[in-house]
Amino acid sequence: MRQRIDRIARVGVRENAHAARVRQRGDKTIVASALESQMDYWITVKNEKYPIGKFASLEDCNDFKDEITSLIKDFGLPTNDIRFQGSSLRTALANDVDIAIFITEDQVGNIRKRIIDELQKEYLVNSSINSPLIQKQIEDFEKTVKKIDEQIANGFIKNRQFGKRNNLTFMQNKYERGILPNHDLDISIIIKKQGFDTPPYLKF
Amino acid sequence: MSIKNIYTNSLGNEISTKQAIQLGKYLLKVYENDILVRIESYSKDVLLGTSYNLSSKNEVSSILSLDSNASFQIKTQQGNYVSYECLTYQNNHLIDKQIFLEHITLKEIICRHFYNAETDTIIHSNTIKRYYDQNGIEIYSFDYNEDGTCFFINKPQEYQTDFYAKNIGVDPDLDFTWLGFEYYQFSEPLIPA
Repeated sequence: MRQRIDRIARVGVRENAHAARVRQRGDKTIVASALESQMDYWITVKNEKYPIGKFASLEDCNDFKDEITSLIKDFGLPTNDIRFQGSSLRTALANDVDIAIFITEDQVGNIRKRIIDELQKEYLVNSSINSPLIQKQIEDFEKTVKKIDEQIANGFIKNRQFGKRNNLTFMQNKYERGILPNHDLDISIIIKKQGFDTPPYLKF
Repeated sequence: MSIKNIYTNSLGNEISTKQAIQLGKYLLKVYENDILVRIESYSKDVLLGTSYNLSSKNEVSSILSLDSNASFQIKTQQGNYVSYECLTYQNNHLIDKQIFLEHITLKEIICRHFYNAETDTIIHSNTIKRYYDQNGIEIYSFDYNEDGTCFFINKPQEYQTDFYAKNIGVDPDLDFTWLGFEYYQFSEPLIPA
């Protein structure tokens, strides 16, 4: 037990915060030995500089980073601070690769505006921008804006809110472009210093 | 008959007449006997277009003969659901068709169908279906492939818990099944069985 405590102290309690959060959400519990094994895995990932269980090599991972960054850019979102996070950094058995686009509080206003503009386009698929939204469209639009604001208040924005390109959602585009075809992907915007800004991370 | 006019911004939030003039771009909602009958869209006091609320399609052609760029919301009740067919015309030509289905008890939209206006067929990849719990909390929203099969399930209330439909029944860690969610497995039908 003493050795385990020493290890946690050495690797850092902060880097295990995400594991603790997973347990708090109630969907998984982690026994001490599993936590220790995840810490070992994370140290290897950090040294190799990529999630070793999801990519054949660093080069393979870098290709993925280029592809996903290009898609993020196409959706008009910032690409200066993209990070791997979540279970693919802690275990080879992770179900998916989690990506976070980190933004600062200062960026929230502009990104919210962009996302709401994109949302409005979804309702005006074929109409000109001058066409008046119809009553039910306005009501549904308002409710969706409220949902986006709730997510922002909680410190994140989910990819479904990124809008559409080529009439497809972000995830549909990821699939169409064949990005990371053998693994599932989840991607969100994370607001720095809020509830979901929890390590470990691996910056692109 | 009583007529009431309410000015709103483009998001539908009520504003004063003075604010509408200052804003330049605004909506004018016209109520007859407290029922919203049309929404007029203005930019710098120029009428851009009018959306009419109807309860049947019978009046569409007569309104179009006077206003060839009109749009319409046609409300129809079917059991515990209300469908809102939204039609937009330009020069008497239908350019957009969407149908929203509202659950009367929940007062929430549970399905949104977008159509190819020329072929009058559903664009399945644009369909959204939403599942609400009894408290009106949106638990899942469903996105679809072009063939109408489910592509992706979003959990709007939770972080990093979304999942692909292809993993249902395959991924042992995924406890979601289509049992009880049959309506959501495909883009169609519009109205639950």
